Amino acid sequence: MYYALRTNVNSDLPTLTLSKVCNMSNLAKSLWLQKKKMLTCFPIDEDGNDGNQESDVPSMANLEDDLVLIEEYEKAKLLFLIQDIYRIEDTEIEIKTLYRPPKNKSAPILICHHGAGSSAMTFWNLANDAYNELGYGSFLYDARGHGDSTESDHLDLSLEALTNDCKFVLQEFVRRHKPESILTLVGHSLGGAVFTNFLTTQYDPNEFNGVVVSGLVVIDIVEELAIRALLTTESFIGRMPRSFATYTDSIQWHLDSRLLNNYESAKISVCHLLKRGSGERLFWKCNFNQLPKFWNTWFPGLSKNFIVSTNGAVSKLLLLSTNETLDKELMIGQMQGKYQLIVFNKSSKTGHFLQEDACKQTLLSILDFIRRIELTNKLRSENNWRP
Amino acid sequence: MDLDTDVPMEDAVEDVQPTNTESQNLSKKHAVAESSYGQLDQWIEKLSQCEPLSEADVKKLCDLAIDILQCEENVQPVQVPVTICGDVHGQFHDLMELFKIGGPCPDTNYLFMGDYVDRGYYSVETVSYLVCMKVRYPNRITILRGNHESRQITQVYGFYDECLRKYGSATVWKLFTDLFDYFPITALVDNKIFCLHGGLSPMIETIDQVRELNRIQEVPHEGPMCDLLWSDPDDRGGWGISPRGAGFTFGQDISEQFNHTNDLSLIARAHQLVMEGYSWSHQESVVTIFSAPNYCYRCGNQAAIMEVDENHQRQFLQYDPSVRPGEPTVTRKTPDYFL
Repeated sequence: MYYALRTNVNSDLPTLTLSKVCNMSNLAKSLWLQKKKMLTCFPIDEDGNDGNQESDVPSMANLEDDLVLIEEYEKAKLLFLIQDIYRIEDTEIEIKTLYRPPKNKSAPILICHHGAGSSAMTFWNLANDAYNELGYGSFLYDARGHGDSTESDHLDLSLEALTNDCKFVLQEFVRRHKPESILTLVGHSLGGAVFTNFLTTQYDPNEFNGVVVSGLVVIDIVEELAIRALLTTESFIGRMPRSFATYTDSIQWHLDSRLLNNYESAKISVCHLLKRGSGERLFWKCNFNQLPKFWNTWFPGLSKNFIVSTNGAVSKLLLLSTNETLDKELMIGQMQGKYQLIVFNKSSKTGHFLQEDACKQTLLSILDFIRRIELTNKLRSENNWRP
Repeated sequence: MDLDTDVPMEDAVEDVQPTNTESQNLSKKHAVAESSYGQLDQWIEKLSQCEPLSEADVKKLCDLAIDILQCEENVQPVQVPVTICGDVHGQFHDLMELFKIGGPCPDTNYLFMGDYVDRGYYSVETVSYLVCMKVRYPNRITILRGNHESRQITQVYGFYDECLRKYGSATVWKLFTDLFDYFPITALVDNKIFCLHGGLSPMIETIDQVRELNRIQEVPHEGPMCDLLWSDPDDRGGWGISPRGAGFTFGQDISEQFNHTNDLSLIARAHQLVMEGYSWSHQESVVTIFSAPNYCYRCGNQAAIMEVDENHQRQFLQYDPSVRPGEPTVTRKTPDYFL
């Protein structure tokens, strides 16, 4: 609570601390509010500066909401009982990991990798439901340059670097926790490309103490469409607000821009994206302007690798949001029965972040997928099996 | 067309030896259909120009088709000679090409193994045309059910949207998907070639077990009927869980045992894209036939059909996409961010 209060005092109003605002009568509040023009966010102007500093005042209602939000966010993080920092060997790079072990040792574990500009907490809702309803464990981490992992202007954010991190983090996870159940990789967007590349180029069960990856779930990424979309992503980044007055404003911005569509999930995941900076404003932890330098490396080869990686030893599931947008490689692979494809219902309010917008549906899809992996394992272990 | 080349009482249906009431029903159905021949010929003419029927006509057509299809069996008997075809997927112009290559129906008998709708841009015209042909020449053409002839799948892969686009409501989609429930799920060519969309099921050892299924329903998520429409042959032996998320994979040992048990020479199936249009597996105990060339206007594959003559000699006819003006260009909306 102390943290919340301290960070929400507005430094531009030295005579009016938060507690004073909160104690004002309704009339006083409305007068105070009238004096200040409220802007929820600040587009960057041509000189790269924020908008009018005069209007850099959070609405009081939002400030009050922020106190509750931060408390909920901290609580949500605490669900992950084991929070370790993994330092990538021979570097200064530190990776923030969050692990909630399964209810019992034989229950499956989901290993989740978020997409570009996102963070581990995009999966908190999925991980929470997976534990509460199915007893699954979850292991999440912030990729380099994201969330609470190392961020700097000189980071290599190429697919190769992210894949090397992935291998290191998974090896370290296996070494520390010795999982005994089915491991399923769940990658959203760029995270799906990282996991696919990892399985294609780096994965060797012998290097994981015999711990076997059984499944790969890729959420809403198709090579052809992603590469085409990157052409417009730079201008999208240019239009993004550089900072926010409050967490509440940022969540509202995510909802208004349809980036996220589930408030319950967004109120936690968005908090993990922001850090307090100059003028008590909230800035992105991720340096979005660094991304374009690397994104040409992210997706080429993704569809082919998704089909051919591990030669069928790892089961694969592709979840797509709202439209079937397969490219040629994925279309042929699907029509030859190489993987499972689920396209989410158009009528539901889902965007790119399926694990947030359609958390229950995503979890059900993964549950069914893992159930079939378990059957496959059973079939392979029992000769002459017949149902 | 003056001469009716369909001869209802002289082919496969008669072999079944229907009971008296069934026989009466059958002739009643045929009488109904016969009175509609003029209308059907008009519809076929219109559809062959790739023009969809009106909603009211689709309703009439589906009513006629239900009368015929509900009398067919789970394992519909078919006689040789027959030309066996795989997935079509709404590629109407390629279906017309297929009839050019294989010879016009009803001069040539046809057996289609499902997946008429979804993915291509003319699912409405394609399925309307094939159902019209079925009603007009019920003993010259057999249309089995594929995994895409289902309410759930068509909502994702295009047929539902196409119906909305072309008719402004989901009525036609509802009419057709209700009709799909009546499609037979397998066919048996001269007691020797077992034809179906997907493949075998671990719950089905004999063809008689297929006859016992209740097929008049939506394609279930699991169980024998689901497997028959979803399974694939595999290089690995035995049964496996299909990576598709439904059905099984089955190895050569399974196919050989099934063919032996049921005194079959071949399992013919569709469901999988094969780049040459057809593909043998399990040492020629299973053949895959795929009849949608350049699938979904981008896969670059050939298509094929399989002719089986009176002496059970087989011949494959391969073909490429039909050349036509105004090939639809594949344009899809790009999201304005990819983070």
